[in-house]
This record gives sequence, C-alpha cells and structure tokens, in this order.
Amino acid sequence: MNNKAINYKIPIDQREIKRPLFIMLSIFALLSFSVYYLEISFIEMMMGLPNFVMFFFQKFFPPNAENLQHYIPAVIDTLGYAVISTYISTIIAFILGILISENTNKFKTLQVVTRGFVSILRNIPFIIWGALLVYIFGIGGIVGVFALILVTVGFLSKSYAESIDEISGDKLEALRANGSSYLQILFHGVIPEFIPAWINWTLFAFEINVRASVVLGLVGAGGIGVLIDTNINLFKYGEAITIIAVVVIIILLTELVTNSIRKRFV
Amino acid sequence: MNPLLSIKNLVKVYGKDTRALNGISLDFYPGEFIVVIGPSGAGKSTFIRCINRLVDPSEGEIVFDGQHLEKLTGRKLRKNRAGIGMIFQHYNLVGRTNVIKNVLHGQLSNLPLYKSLLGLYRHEDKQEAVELLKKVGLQDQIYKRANELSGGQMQRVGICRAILQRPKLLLADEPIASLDPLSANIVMQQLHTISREKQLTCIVNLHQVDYAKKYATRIIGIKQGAVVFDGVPSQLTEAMIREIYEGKESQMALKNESPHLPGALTDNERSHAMPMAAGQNDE
Amino acid sequence: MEHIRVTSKGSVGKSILTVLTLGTVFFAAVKLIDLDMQKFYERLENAPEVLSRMMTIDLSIVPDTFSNIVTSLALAFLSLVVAVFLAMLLSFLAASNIAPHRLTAIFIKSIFAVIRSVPSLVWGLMVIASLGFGNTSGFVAILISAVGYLTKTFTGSIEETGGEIIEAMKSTGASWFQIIFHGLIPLCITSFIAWITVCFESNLSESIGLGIIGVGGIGLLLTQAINTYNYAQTTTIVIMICLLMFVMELLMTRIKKNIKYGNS
Repeated sequence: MNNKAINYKIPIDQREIKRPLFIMLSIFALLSFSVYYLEISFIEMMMGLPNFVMFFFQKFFPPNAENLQHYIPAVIDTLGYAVISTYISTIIAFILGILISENTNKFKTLQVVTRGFVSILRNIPFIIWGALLVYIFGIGGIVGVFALILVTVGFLSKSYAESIDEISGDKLEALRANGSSYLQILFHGVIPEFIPAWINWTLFAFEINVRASVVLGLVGAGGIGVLIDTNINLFKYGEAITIIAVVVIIILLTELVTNSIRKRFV
Repeated sequence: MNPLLSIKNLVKVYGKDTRALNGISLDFYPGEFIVVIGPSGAGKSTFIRCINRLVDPSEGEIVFDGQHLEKLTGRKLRKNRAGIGMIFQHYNLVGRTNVIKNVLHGQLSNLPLYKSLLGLYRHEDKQEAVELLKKVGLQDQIYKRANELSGGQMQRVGICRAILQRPKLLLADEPIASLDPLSANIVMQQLHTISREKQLTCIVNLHQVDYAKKYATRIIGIKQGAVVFDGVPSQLTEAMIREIYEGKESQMALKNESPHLPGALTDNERSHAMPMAAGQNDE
Repeated sequence: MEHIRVTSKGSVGKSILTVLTLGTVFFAAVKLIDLDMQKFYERLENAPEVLSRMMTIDLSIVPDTFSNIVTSLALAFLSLVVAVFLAMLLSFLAASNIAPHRLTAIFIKSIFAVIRSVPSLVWGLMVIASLGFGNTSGFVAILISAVGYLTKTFTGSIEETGGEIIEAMKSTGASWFQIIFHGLIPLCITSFIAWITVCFESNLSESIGLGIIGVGGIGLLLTQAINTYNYAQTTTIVIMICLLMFVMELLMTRIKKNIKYGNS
C-alpha cells in the first residue's frame, strides 16, 4: 500500500456535518428569540425558584378535606360527561372514519370534505371549543358534553380512519371477489378486523375525555373543574388542592381501569 | 364445445404507459385445469384479477358463461363474481373471525345483510362448510380464529371458502407461494382433488414449473404481458421454460428447490460480490 | 336435522355480556348526571342568531393576532426545549433497563404519574396563584406537563427498544454514559423526535388554552374578544387559531417523515 493513504483521516461518519450544525444553530436562534420576546428572565426565575416552591407549599398546604363529600356530585358529573361523550362520539367518529378511509370510501371528494371537517374539529384546542360553546349556549353541563363530543370526534375519526386504512386491502379483496355487497364487506371484513384498534382508541379517547371534562369546568362547562376555579378565585387554596388530589385519583383510577380492559380484550 | 370463459384482446395499462397486459386472447373450456406460469412481473396476477374484475381491464372482452363481464357494474357484477371462486397468495381470510364463518363468507352474495349479521346461514350451506372442512382435515379447527391457524391451514380454509361459492370457475393467484414445501404439496394436492371432484374449471397462477407439469391439463406461459406458450404439459420443453423466464433465470431456481448450491450466486449476491472483486484487482 | 353453530357457545355469551355492560354504563351515566335538556333546547333557539352574528370577520385585529400567535409559539417552543433536556435526563434515570438505581427509577416514575394526571390548565391555575399572571407562569405550567409527557414517552421508547443494545454495549465494557451516548441516543432519537413533535403540538394547544385562564398569547386575546361580545373578532381569532394549528400539523408531519426516511 502507498503511504498517502495513512495520512488521510478515516471518517467514521459519512454524513455531512453541515446539516445538524444548521439545525442546532436555528434551534438556538429560535430559543434566544423566544426568551427575548417573552421577556422571561431565567436568572430571575432560578433565583425565584425556592421562593416559588415555598410559596406554593405555603399556599396550597395543608389540604382542607372538610368538604370532601360535597365534591362527590361534581366527580360523578365529570365522569358522566366523559362516558356520554365517549359513547356518542365513537358512533359519529366510526361513520366519519369510514368516510375518510380509502379502504371504505371510494368517493374522493367526500373523503376530502370529511377529512377537512374533522381536521377543523381536531385542530382547535378543546378549551377553545369549550369557551366558544359557552359563549353560544351559556354555562352548563350539556355544553361540556357537546364540546367533548366535538373534540373527541375529531380525534377518533382520524385515528379510526388510520386503523381502517391499515387493514390490508388483501383481506377485503377476497370478499369483493366472491360478490359480497359493500355493507357485507364492511360488516364481515372491516369491522371484525377493526375491533382491537377500536377498543384501543376508544379507551384512549375516554382517558382524554376524563381529563378534558375536568378542564372544561374551568370555562364554565360544569363538573369538578368549576370547583377548582371558584376555590382558587376565593383564595381557598387548601380546598383547591384537595379537589386537585381528587382529580389525580380519578385520572389514575381511570387509567388503571382502561389498562386492565385493554389487557383483557386486545 | 363452447368455451366457459373467453378472453379477447385483454389490455391493462397502469398509470400512463406501464403495460401490464399486452393483448391476451384465450379460450378456457369446462373441466380444464390450467396453470399460468411466468416470471414475477409478467402480468400473471393482473391477468387473473381482470377475469373477475378485481382489476378493471383497459381494453378487451371477457365473456364468462355467455356474459360480458367487462361491461357489468354493481349488483350484476357481484352476482357474476359469485360464480367465480378465488384463492389468494396471502389467503385473505378475516383473521379475527372463526374458521367456519370465513368459509361461509363464500355464500354472502346469496344472503341478505341482516341474516348474515345474525349468523342465519342456510343449513345446507353450513353442512357443506363442515363437510368441506372435514375433507381438508380441519374438522377440529372449526371455531378457531382464522389467525390462529398455520399458513397451510389458512390456505385450506381459503379453498373451502371458494368452493362454498359453488362456482363454475376457480381462480387461484399463487396459492402456494407463501407456504413451506410440505404445506404447499398438501394444499396443491387438495386443490386439485376437490376441483376434479366438483368438475371445476381452474386457472392457477404458479411460478413453480414442476407443480405446473404435475397437475395441469394445459399450461400457459406469460411473459411481459403476452402469451408465449399455450399447450399441454408435455409440450413444455426445457428450452421453452428458459425462454419464458429469460432474463429472470434466478426465479427458475425454485424449480429445483436448491437455489443455494455453492458457486450458484443469485443476482443479488452477485451484485454484492462484484465491487469486492474489483477492489482486489486494484491491489 | 342437527343444528350447526356458527359461533362457539362461549363467544355468544361473552358478546351479550359485553353489550349489556356497555349499555348499563351508558344509561347509568345518563341517569346519574343531570343534563338539563330543556334549558339546552331553549338556548338552542338562540344559537342561530349568535352564529349568524359570528359570520363576520374583523381584519383590523389580524396584526394583533399575529403578535399574540408569536407569543404562544414562543412559549410552546421555549418550554419544549427545556422540557426535552429535563426529560432526557430523567428518562435515562427512570427507564428500568438503564436506570442506575432501581429506587430512583420507581420514585421518578411514580412522581411523574401524579404530575401527569393533573391537567395542564390546572397546573396553570396553581402556578398563576403562586407566580401571578404573565409569560413566566405560562412557561412553568407548560413545562411541567411537557416534562411529564416526554419523560413517560422517552422512558417507554428506551424500555421498548433499548434492551439488546444495552446488553451488547455492556458486553464491550462500555460505561453508563457511553451506553447512553453511543447506544441509546442514536437508537432512540427517531422515536424521541416523533414524541417531541407531538409534544410541540400539545404544548401549542396548551399555551393557547392557558390564555383563557389569563396567561398571555392568542388565547388571552380570544377571551377578551369573547368577554366583550365582539363577534367579528372572535370569529377572526378562531379562524387564525385553526390555520395556525393546521400549518403546525403539516409541519410536524413533514418533520416526522423527514426523520423516518430522509437522513440515514
């Protein structure tokens, strides 16, 4: 071998260094801009951190659990909204999902229109939907259910459609080949294959709905969120933290339940 | 004798100018067991799917049992499809549905939706389904989910489903390509036995030439979307096979089932080996 | 004539039971909560009027909307970057197959399970109560939930895919840091980035939502418009939010695709 080769460095990476460097630089630039624009002083924040933590604990602790039994109706409402909206939205979303999926809808225009509609539902944050609906319909539980349905339909339709798309066309081809009608293909081919994904997504939607149902109370759509908001506004921090603890328990229990259902059925 | 299926000048163009089928004209007579051979990409699959219109042909006529299939749509097309059974390479069963329901799917076109949803299949259909499953040796798997079966078992369910349609014509697209040699043998044997018993006309796509020679009453060779051979198995000479697979010889290796003889590199291996050899020469 | 079953006995019973349970849960929920349908119908009559008034837009608010969108974006981005660093650190301490101490791992995991189950807007309320209104509160509130989300998903990715590479690198005698920097990060970076893009989207929608409870950004502007019954402005802002989220979704999908197929 010639000696020239020895002097060359052996690169262990063939990729260019420029791209990652460029990405790093642009992230850093964006970061500096954000800090400058928001006028957040990190030094102040760091200095204030112990204060903040102390403040936090002083204000919110000790919890005040005196009124615990009064929260029960609100807890039931919150869960009830989540259950009802999950049920209603799974039905609507299933129909929309079928309309969006290429596997089950051959009409391109209808597909695009539904997809657009669903993406509007999904893209507006649910709290904004809540605020808008309260604005239109006034305060109340049904507004909360309505908002939950809108958002869950947006989320579920897209997820369902993706899962239906994933059912390989092969399986449906056999039913097409033996002369089955559209609805027969749907009920005997698509739905049985879709069930595991359906359970999974719907349980997931229920988890999200429980959380969202708590939060929607903050904008006046009923449930336990209202209690958190009013107690904080009345400076009753001890009670607020108790309610938040209740929320944590609800959400953890929900996850426990959904996970065990998932394990059994999927 | 009148042909059961008559195909005239069948052309299929994908996209703008990918010609998968280049004007195929063939007549198929009742009782024939036809094997279509050819390298992958030759258009075998497109050809067989054009017959029952899973793929819409661009030009040409398909006359099945006196009906022009290429013009049919909707309900009429479905009725005619029901008279053509089909078996697929990937079995195409509904995995989460049990075996007997998968077989009964063969009768969906003769049943209103609500009956099929409630499981109200006709008794004689159920009886035949059970008998067919017994015949292929799956009597113990009747209520198992289809996706709990092995590949060979799934394909046998696929055969039962196609037979339960009580078709006049049976299409099979590479029915044994995804199976191990042993299951492939069983499946091919059963497909042959059952179709002889029911006196069905069969069109089977295969790429294993030896299977074609063993079972076919007539072999058709397709290359680049056109028929290059049409005759009885004894007419299919080595030279003919070589011509059909010209340029794709590596696929012929399957015929011997020993593709990895030392010294016999597949295309893929060869291309990897080349630069290495070149590098050594540089030294 | 003997009857031939199409489904096995057990599965029919199971499906009936499932349907009954599902039905009971639904009706129990409807019964237990008090949905005042009458009131709703009354209001439904007013809805067309409100909606028709909302069918206008007010372009004069667009520049203001833009500057507020930048605020929301900046909040989401800033908390994302900080959260990614914190979550990286925490997830390597928490993933069961690489965690240096088992107890620390369990501790981190359970703390974050609790942190995650407090919705971000509730964190927002608590932080505002302690720090007052403003961008800093928004930053902290989003940061908390973003760290919670990323730690969980990162830990999941490491536990799912890391096992073999950890074993292989341990057998070469690599140290903890070496395993992380040369093994796990290159291996998991793709899924990390996918999670980060998801997190950015949810950060953004949280930062918009936080506006409603008084942190800055586009949400605050919307609340002001709503509170002053300014229909045209409300519509305009909602449309802008929708467009913003739409563009972000496209962008994030693009990034995910790039990472998956582009440079490797």
